[in-house]
Amino acid sequence: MSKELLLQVQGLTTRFNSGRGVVHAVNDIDFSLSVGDVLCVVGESGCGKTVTMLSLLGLLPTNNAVRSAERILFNGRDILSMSEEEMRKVRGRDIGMVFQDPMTSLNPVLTIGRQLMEAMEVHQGLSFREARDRSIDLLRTVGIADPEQRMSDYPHQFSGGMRQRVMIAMALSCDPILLIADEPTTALDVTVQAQILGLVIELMRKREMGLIWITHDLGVVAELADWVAVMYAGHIVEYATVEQIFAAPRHPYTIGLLDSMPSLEGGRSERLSVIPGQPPNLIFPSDGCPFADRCSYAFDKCSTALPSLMEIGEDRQVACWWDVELDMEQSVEDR
Amino acid sequence: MTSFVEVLGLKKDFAVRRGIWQRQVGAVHAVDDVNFQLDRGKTLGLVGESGCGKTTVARMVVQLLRPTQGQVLFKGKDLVSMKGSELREIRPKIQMIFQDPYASLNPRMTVGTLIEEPLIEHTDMSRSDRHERVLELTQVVGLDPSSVERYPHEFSGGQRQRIGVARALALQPELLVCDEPVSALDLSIQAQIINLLEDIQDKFNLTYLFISHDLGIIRHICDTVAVMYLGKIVETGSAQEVYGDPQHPYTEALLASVPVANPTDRHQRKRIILSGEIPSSTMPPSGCNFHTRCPLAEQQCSETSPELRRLSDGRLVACHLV
Repeated sequence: MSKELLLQVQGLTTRFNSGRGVVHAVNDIDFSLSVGDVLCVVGESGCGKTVTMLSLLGLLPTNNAVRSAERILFNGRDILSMSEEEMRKVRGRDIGMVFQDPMTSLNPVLTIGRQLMEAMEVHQGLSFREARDRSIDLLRTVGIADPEQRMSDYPHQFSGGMRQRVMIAMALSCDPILLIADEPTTALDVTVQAQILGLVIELMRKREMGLIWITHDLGVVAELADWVAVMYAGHIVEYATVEQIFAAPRHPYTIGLLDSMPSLEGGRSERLSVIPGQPPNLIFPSDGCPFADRCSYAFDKCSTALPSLMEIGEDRQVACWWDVELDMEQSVEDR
Repeated sequence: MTSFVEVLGLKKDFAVRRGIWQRQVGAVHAVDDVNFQLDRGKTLGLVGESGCGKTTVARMVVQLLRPTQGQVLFKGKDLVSMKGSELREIRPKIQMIFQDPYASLNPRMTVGTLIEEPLIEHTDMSRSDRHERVLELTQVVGLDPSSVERYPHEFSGGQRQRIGVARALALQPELLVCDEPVSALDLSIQAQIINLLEDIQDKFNLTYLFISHDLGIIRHICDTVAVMYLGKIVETGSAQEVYGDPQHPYTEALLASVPVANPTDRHQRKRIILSGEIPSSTMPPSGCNFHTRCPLAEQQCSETSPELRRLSDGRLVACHLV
């Protein structure tokens, strides 16, 4: 690829020590992102999407979490060897973050203006006036009416959608080159979600930035993503371009997810196809593929050996024995 | 012929109180003149964004909330005017499935007791009959018979929702009011519960009032759809017609806002992005509730409130411009 590589993650693993045992939250995952690209990370609750991003940012709780990785390069710099001091400078300045719940990520006793200006004063050394002017600009960019007046309002005076806009403005305040958004529209109504998605697509067009967007909504993925990483039980099970994921999903879990989605066209007559069973316990992972118990294609190898992400084409990876076997059979037949 | 369920002129105002004397300073008009009817064995979907009054309607249908005004006719009899024993007699016929499977089950009761509770309360079945019925119900909803000994916290969200369904089915209801029954569940589990709800509907000839903000689910499960905005129904008709050719500008915008799971033509897709958000229901806008966000609004829209009018295809739409 000719585009400049912004983020490269190799062998990222995160474990939590809990009272009941070690939780294998993120297991040896690799991914990368180029400037100008949008990577959507999809998966169900508890699959490790959020923990992956927190691990990247060094925001894991210090008392019980253990992170390890072969390599995390951000913009050419090695995150693993950075001190907490250096990491703090990267977060908020080079990497902007937007979290799911705008109600709890804003400080209720500070005005919106104060909170917006803080990061710019700290990270960029702007004066009060400069920070204020830029904040007003940012609020205007994210579509908040009367930004001058709204600067002195408190978070409770904003609605959910407006607060999420403020969070985006805040994340953009120091001109980050990477924006990480964790389910930013999940708590919002669809018409407001559509506004936010429109805003983000617009921003991506204007800025030199990479975007990682975590979601469980496949519709949002289709609207936004260039690249998709599907996660299951702490593993990336499929990684491909958005077109490939929707047109020809290869991992049985991805196929199952896409099939279980009720569409706006389909009526009562078609029965939803179901992925039977439930996600596995992350404290006692099996030796084999974590999806094997729920997979209709599973065969004996699946429960004994863990498939790793394998290249199955250009820019395309899948972690599944079934697919690989099928390919080998076909290539034997072809010969 | 009377409808199975008919709701007439339903209204609910919640008082807003302030100060140490708790004087009423205003009212939230949560539901404002809602009418619909529902035939036996069918599913009506109430869809709308948060705060539009869907749940309030559901709670009034089940009589968990008393309406400020209006009637809820169940097989021709008005539930609102019923009291005491009369209402108690009819309650088993109308059951509810709640949104949050984590909060709606008592954590101190075993699953068996939870499912048995309505039987103790409303029937004079013997202990062994009840036990048999509980086992039968666990089978219907796809729970392992051994689960009756266990407690809700031992189950995942999807299985807890199965417990909720078993509990609702215990008294052989005729009407099930489902308030966002799958919103708290993951996609792969959602499909399991939706299929279960469809199976039991066919099996027991149930009638559903189904509430959801998820337009895909409503399309999948419902025969008729009522779209709500700020306490009012703005459009209602068969699911096929409403989705295929929405008439009210809000319905159209709502459907256009749903992200489509197809990336190929995403840049050409027609988008209607509504500006602003739902106004406060304490002070709803003058005229048509939707005129502040409506891309087509005209002068008259801010002056007079449109009535629901019947179109030639039988659906009802509340808009001056249709």
